Amino acid sequence: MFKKILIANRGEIALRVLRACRELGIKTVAIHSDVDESAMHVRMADESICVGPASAQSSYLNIPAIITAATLTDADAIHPGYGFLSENQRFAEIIEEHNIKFIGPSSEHIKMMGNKIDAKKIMDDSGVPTVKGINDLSNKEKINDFIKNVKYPIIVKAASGGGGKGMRVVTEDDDLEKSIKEAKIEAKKSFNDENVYLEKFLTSPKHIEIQVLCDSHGNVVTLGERDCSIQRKHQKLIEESPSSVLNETERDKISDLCRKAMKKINYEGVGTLEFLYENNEFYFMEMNTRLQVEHPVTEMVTGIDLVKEQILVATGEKLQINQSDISLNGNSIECRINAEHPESFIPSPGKITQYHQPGGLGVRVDSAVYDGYSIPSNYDSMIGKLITYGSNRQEALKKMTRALEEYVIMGINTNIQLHQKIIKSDEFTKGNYDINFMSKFN
Amino acid sequence: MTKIDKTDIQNINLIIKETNLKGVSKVKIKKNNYEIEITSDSILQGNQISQVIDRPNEKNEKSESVEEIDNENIVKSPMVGVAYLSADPNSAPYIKIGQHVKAGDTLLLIEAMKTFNEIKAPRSGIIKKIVVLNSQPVEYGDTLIIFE
Repeated sequence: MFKKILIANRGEIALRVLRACRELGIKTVAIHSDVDESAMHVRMADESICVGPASAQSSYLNIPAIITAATLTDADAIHPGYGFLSENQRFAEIIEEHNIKFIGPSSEHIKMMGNKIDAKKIMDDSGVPTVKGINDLSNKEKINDFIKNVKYPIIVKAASGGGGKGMRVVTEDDDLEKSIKEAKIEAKKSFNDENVYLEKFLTSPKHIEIQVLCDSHGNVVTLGERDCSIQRKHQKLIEESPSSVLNETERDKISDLCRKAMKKINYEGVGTLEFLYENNEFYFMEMNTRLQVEHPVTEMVTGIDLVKEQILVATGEKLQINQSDISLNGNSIECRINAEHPESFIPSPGKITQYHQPGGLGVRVDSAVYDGYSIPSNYDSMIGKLITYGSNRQEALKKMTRALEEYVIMGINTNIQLHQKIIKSDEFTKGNYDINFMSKFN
Repeated sequence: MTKIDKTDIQNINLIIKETNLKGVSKVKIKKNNYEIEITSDSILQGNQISQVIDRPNEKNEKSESVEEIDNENIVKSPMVGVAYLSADPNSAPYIKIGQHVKAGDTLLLIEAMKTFNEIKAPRSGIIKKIVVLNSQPVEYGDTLIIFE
């Protein structure tokens, strides 16, 4: 067992890891920037080290400073949380070189999944369904065959793309050639790489992801799914488990494929396979090789502490849980509480002048803010997660409605009102929403 | 708009007293190079009497940039964050002094809580002054840009 873990993160996730360490009897080291001196994760840690000034680049992303902090405090493992350096292959590599354990997968696995084309190929090879596509656009006949096969709409994507640039949705033959040409020009301009490829375009999918947990002895379990379709600008807002559209057969089928893929690549630690789900079909998008923000909803319905399990498998212990031990009981919903205006979404850092967080049976708040705390403008706007649990979805929803009403955060703007509107909307109540929900919502 | 201070009132009173003015109809104070202009109906010739008082430079500088600017011409920061005048370090700045912009054009970016927020022109017009510096931290309500 580890004696001391350095937590290379801040905010609620640093607290979340710290709590797991406490329960496991492991000492903790907090790192922080100078503006975070009075942050809760620093106050609660056994030791703390300032690793740099406010800018994340010079503090929470400052690899040499963090490694030095770990060496100085004699930490035997580093937990990266999510965001920051959690999926930085080089960081994991350097930690490995220093004989410190990186709590997460090997740097090789981070690299493997970091390249989206490689990741898709690995999943293809393991029988995990991916979005049908064609990379070679030199042969017109092949393109026509592909389109005949998948049917319109299709999407032209830039190979080096991102941020919506070099992308064109095509709905009919007449537009195809022109769209490819335009996408190429845009891709060349934006990424200096005019390579584009075609993919079947999913018009109204859900975002559904599968949680995996693997030890270093080849044991793999899946812990059901999370529906994260409520997103704004690719940022998840509300997540729930289980999804109201999946039946047991579908869940078992996709979970089984995920387990097989993980075994095949010898994955270790916690991870999440993200899928688009449309017309009862799954399409692999990408894999996150770390703990997810929304992991609590899985914990609530499975009763399994994912962070503790993550730390235990990192020590080299065998998983004590079998797949047959895991069942999803009840429903859990999570609302991400952001310091931003509920309508304009303008970020709202500043001092919290009054704070009251909801409680009671089936209500969990993962947050690192407190009365009088000043939220710095240098980091993410997510200041907390409100999670409710009920024996069924309706109960979880009722608890969420009640808990949102009870949540008081004064002095800054928060998106609590937006959550209230979403939770009581017809579409959300029914559960059949897709990823376009927020773009249509007002 | 700079506030009128005690010395201004004293100076005005002094001028009125010294010149024995009656029926003052208009008083004008200009703060750059400090000027007081008093108009009175009782003066037959010239109609106006002016006195220029030189103030220490420091005072002048202080009151400079703020004077006589209509609130409508000021673009203020809607948030706390870091201002950037171009999309990325290698790009040209969004705007230049003297440039004509249309309502809705991007003037600059403010980075706050990991998001880059485009600050758009509230109206069409000509840029008179770019007050904010590149990668300078700004607070809510700080003046960013001044229109002509």
